Amino acid sequence: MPRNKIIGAVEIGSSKITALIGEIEGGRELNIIGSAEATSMGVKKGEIVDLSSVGRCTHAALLAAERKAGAQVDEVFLSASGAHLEGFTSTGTVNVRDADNWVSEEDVRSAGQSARQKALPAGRCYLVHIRGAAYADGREVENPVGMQAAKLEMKYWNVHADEGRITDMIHIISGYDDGLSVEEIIPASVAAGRIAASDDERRAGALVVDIGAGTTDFVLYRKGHIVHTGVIPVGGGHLTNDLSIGLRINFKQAERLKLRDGKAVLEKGDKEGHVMLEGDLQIGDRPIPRLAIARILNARVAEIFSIIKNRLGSAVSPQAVPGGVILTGGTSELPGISEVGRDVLGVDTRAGTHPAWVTREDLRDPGYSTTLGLLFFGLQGQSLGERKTEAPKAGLLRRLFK
Amino acid sequence: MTKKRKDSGARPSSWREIQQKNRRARTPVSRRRAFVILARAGMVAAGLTVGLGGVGYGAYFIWTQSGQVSPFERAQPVTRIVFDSDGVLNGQWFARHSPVPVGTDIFKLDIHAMKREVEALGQVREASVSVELPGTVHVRVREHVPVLRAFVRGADGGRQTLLVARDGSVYEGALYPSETLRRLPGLTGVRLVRDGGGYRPLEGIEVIADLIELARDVTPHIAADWRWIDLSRYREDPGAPGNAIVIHGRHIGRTVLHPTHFLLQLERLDGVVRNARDRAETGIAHIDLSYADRAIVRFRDDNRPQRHS
Repeated sequence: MPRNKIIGAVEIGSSKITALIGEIEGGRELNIIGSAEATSMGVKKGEIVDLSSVGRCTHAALLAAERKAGAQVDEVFLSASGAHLEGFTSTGTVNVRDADNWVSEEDVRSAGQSARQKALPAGRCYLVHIRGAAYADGREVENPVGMQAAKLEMKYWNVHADEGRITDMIHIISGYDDGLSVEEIIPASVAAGRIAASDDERRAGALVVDIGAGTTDFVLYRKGHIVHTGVIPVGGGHLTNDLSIGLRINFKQAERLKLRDGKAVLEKGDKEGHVMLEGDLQIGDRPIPRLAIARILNARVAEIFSIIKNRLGSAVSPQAVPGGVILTGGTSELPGISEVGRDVLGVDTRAGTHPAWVTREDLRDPGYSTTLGLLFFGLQGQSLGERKTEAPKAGLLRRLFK
Repeated sequence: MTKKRKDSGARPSSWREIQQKNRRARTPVSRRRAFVILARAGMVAAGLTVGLGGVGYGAYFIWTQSGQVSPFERAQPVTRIVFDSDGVLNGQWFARHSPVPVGTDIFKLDIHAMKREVEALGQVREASVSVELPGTVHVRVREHVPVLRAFVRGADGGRQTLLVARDGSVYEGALYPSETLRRLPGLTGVRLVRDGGGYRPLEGIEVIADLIELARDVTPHIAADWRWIDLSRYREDPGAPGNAIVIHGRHIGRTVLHPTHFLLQLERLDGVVRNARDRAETGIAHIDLSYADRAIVRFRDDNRPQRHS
């Protein structure tokens, strides 16, 4: 009887490193058997700036998760983020080989290969080629195999990254164990989007925005396909930094203030209201105007959404994304952030919720969407290009996430 | 940067072409983990080695200690039967009654059947049989302890003496010293029923055994006087009307006891006997202690003890 596979999902974030360990039974059931977090050191805006510090933190998180799981990880699914991630759309076109124009699997494969052929500049490497829509003689189809057409076109969204930064990430994982390999590297936005948005929302068209500490990752879905991903090197950490500078308080105080009294919208009572910096009325404690906190946070949050709007342009409109904008990531819990998103993007914006099969309360935190998404791809064998997007059976997973 | 590229020119590259192994990226955490894994693997290997070695040595030990006898090789005769008993039986007695003669193939020996056969010998209460290769059979028995004697007419018409154990087993005793047998009171008033080659066990003997043991402890001079115990009026139900144990002795002609509260009755009996002796009364012909706190006493007409047979 084959041994169950133990997979690890690792997200190296700017504020924390998260490791989840899942056990895949029989290739179709996933049990989350271990989880751990470690404070991240050496990561700035999603990019590694101190390899040894990040290595130590990542290994500590993996070790803690392995101890909780009581098992050793066989392979790792890694998320990638940072401004170095870029993407472009490519189209592969082939003339159908069959004399009677019946489209075969081979035609689809050839079209895919053609779409993925574009050479990259030196120092860049592909992370994923995400299969998009297929066109048979110009008609958009879900699956062209078996149809009759003279010409087949396949669209792909290709994500590429700085090779040096990806190498660093891989070496951090391989440095943990000689036998441990990175099975897949998935853009954080793609992993988070798989968890935060439902099948219906993705099919309708939706924008998932994962606001982390150092970066904001976004993924745009249209008709169930990923048509755009991106990373903005601005996140919750910048909100804290703004508060620290604007209110002349230290970073820790600013972080506490953000979590305790922060909100992204200005309200009527804010003009007169104050909050105490520490709340213990000791020397150094002082009142901070609510208005100042809200203004600072509002400005930065609005800036994040403005950048996304500028990047995506007309792709973000109520008509283009009927499924709306779905927020996830730790900073998405900031009160009022959805309202700001709605105002700036002009599209219904709401906080994402995890699928019902994620029943473990501690994993329902929006900060876990990326790692949960990685495990999800681990269960499916990571087939972004093959469109294995159906959810695992709920009956099984309800058990697994307990 | 350690990477392997098939072609760094125009071909599109994938992160999969990056060389994954890199020992230089190790951290103290991963080194400690590797050490723990190695140590665990070492311990498991050592445990397996010790375990397998132990099994191997055990097999070798059994092989050598059993005189290199293998059941797959050839027959092995029983050369010695070692008999051990907690009673009076001995090896010669067992040799006469042994169900397994010396020379039998030890591998064909059914020790369970042998145990049953040994236990069927009347005097044996419990037996255990074991085999020690190459040719020794160990038989250990625990014997019945006789509490009463019973007499029946033998096949030759003469009187045959049987023994009754505490659990009611009736058997022909062997090798008991005559002094031991003489001290046992005779049993009367019950019918012995034949069962196969022996007799069916008697009911209620345990109560009589308790009485005799108690009497020997508390009033040994009275117990020594008992010759016959008559159970014709004895019922197992203590509340049965007229229930009594009748004891015939040499000095006290007939003692009637109720089959409960033996200690009280014996103490009262002892008191009556002492009182009669102190008053220089004639011998007691009859004493009935089965009526609650009363004692009905009838003295002999003269001092000559009455014989019972």
